[in-house]
Amino acid sequence: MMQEFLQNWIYFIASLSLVGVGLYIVLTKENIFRIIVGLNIIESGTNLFMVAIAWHPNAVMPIYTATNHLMVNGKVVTADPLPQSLVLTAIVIGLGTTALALAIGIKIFEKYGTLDVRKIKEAEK
Amino acid sequence: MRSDTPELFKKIFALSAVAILIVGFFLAFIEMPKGWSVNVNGRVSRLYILKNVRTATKLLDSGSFFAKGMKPLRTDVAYTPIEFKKTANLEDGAANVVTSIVVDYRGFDTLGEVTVLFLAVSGVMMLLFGKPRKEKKKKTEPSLIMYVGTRIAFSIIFLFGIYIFVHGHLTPGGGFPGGTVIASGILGLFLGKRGYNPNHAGLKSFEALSGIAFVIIGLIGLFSVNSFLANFLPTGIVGNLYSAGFVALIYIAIGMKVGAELAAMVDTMITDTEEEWS
Amino acid sequence: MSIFNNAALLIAVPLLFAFSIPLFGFVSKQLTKWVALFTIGFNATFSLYILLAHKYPTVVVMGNWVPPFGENLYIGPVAAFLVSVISLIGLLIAIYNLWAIKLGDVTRFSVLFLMFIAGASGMVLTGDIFNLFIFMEITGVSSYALVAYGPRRRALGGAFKFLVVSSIGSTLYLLGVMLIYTQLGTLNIAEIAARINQTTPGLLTFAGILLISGLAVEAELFPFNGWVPDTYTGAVNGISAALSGVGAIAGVYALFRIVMTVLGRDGTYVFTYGKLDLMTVVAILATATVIIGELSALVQKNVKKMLAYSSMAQMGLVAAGFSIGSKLGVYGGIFQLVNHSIAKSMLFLIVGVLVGSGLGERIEDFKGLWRRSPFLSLAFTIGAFSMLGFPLFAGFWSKFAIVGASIQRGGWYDFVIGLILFASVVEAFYYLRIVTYIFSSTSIKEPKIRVNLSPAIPIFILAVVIVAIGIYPNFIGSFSMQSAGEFTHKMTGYVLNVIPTIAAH
Repeated sequence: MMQEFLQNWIYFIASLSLVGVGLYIVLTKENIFRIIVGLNIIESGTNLFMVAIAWHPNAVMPIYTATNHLMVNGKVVTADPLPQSLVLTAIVIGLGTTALALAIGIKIFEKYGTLDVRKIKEAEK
Repeated sequence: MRSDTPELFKKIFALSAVAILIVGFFLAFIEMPKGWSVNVNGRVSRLYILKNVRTATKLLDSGSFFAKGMKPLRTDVAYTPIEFKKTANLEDGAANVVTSIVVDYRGFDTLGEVTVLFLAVSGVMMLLFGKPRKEKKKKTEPSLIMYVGTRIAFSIIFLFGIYIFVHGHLTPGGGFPGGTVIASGILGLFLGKRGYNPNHAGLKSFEALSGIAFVIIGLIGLFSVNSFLANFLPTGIVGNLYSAGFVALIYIAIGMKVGAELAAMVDTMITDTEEEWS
Repeated sequence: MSIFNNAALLIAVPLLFAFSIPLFGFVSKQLTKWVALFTIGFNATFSLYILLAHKYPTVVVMGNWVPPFGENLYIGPVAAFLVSVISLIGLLIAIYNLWAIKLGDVTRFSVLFLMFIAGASGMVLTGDIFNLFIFMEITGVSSYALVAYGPRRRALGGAFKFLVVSSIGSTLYLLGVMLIYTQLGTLNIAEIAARINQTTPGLLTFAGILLISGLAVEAELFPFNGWVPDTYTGAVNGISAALSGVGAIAGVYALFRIVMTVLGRDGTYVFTYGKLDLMTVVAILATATVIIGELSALVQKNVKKMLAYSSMAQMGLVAAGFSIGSKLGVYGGIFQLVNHSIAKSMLFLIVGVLVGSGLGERIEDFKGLWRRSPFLSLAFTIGAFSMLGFPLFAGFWSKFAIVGASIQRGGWYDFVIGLILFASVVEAFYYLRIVTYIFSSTSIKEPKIRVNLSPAIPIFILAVVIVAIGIYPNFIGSFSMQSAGEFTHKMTGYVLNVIPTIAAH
């Protein structure tokens, strides 16, 4: 019972809490660096979710080797490889966004001397 | 993010947004196949594992592929199981199914993904563009061990990166991890010597040429097989190094591009520049 | 299913030249702007060829895998028309950039601008729900960086805000895509559209809400458009023009492709849950957007900020037109979308020329502009009249069509008439205020503004197009009507053209 529950729910609960925590950080924090960290947490949550929907308890890895059989009795037994390949794409896109956000953060710190969103707003007025 | 909203209001708003998300996801999760009920046999990726999309297109005529209770495997369609190091001339000869999806079946996504990374790095370079600052900030000088160690480690890391992206169609890994490994070696060089200055023009042209190579491989497919990013090489025997047609070629291009790109990005971020608008 | 694989060049050629622009940068920085211009010019020519030679509807197969298994581009009436509009407006803005962008890292700017246009075209062309995410990110990442370009520091704040909102939006979109994948096991838009009834209702509702909230960011709909004023004000004027003229087209297209084709049904339009269907949700959001956008634009002192809020409100009108759901309504929506892109990008370019010649951005600074530059004043007036829907200007016909559609549909959709009238009155107030400032006389003698050839060409062409559409609306109208058919007739207009053997389940 407990094992069943864990197998069915644990990854989804974990990914959902990551997304929720990240969203909360992005919406409430005032520091630009923390906002970027929040964005990264949201991204990790999404990636975990995508891997989790590909998984099932008796999954084998989706790679043909001498000992690894992806088909048993005419049924596919691997983990679903499609979400895994999408995760690869999502990770790279997340990396690019983070790099760009950090570069904008560097420029903001150079020009305003602060990373606090409130102080930046005041400086603009 | 507005500065004039009160703290409490903002927190309540954030909590309610998170709560909506949690409730919605909870409702969605109940109806989602989980654990034992996840069935790869009903998904399109099953055909990628079988590496038999062409046969599946014949199933389309009867429309059975789209029915809800799709059979796991049809008995009336001839099928021979794939055996490692024996089966030859498949649609896609990559032993790693994830690779065959990333590069072959959904290769257009990967081209876009490479572009996103390229654009992000271009954006970073455009933002941090400027003359190198004259008076440098004080940094601690790395020790001799660091200097010698990173130089020795660099060649090994570089070789390992190349190994990863050349074997992308056989083992876990591929162009992106391989390129990142190479870039981490170059990051080591930056850490090992203060003011380490790579060949900028070389990095730029290397990156540009490998990107062009990717698109040209796609265009060769367009003009020889009449479809953009189509596999135009024989696929060989599953599990051999020389197999899977153009998958290895594309992964080599991606690996070199990602390595050069990330190294250039590290370089841009480390160098302290002073912008000029005149 | 007709196949026209060479249309993949619409994506491949911009990518090839984007990758090679750094090499051209070794020769000369200014050369790279010309490379970007010619590449967008190739796209414009090719897409016009597809549109005028009637090569559509057709499928472009990627990697030799037929549609439900591999990826494909679908060029229907909508894609052929909107890609032409996107690349033509992009071409004009690229001509403007020859004059405007001279400092900073011009090489990288050209790369990013080229890929911004190509990414927006890709969003319109693609037939795969995950590939749409990739093109959203291509458009998004290039626009964050482009917004941050420029010597003014307020650009950075706008860019960062846009980045945060947009990347949260695309993450939500991705979650929605994966939720649908768990049910149907496919990512092809046509297949999902045909099999949407095989999903369970609760999950589909939540996935739909996630998809809409992700796409509403770029379509500038109400709760997700907080980035609009800061980003448009902070960016260089050419980029503001590109965001409102090109980015908005792609955003609105993607939103309604998902709502009407993927989550919709033939006849009943959208998946319903209780009594509230997703199209009604979009209609409510659109109404809120119009009201908030117009009222905020009314109180602005800064012209760019005013144009930004006006752009938001116009996107609301477009969405309201689409959400009527009938063929005439979608026709009005597309027509309004194109008219808005043309007029708004022209207004931003004019502001760019004025700011470049030392004029301020406040409304008072426009006083007596008629004496200083009759050409720019006339063009601004034409644009303003088109925005507020003055008869015999382009905007009139589209607003007229939306009103006609809401009368025809009847029921509670009658409120759209009130919405349009409200929007037009408020727009008349704030646009005519500027126009009166322009034509009022000042005692101080100020030197005339010289307009260079490269910004003058796009402004002149756009103004002529606005007047031409106003006099002869069928020119754009016939294409809009064909496009509307693709949106409202989901199976015959879209799904069966991509996968002929599929039947609705």
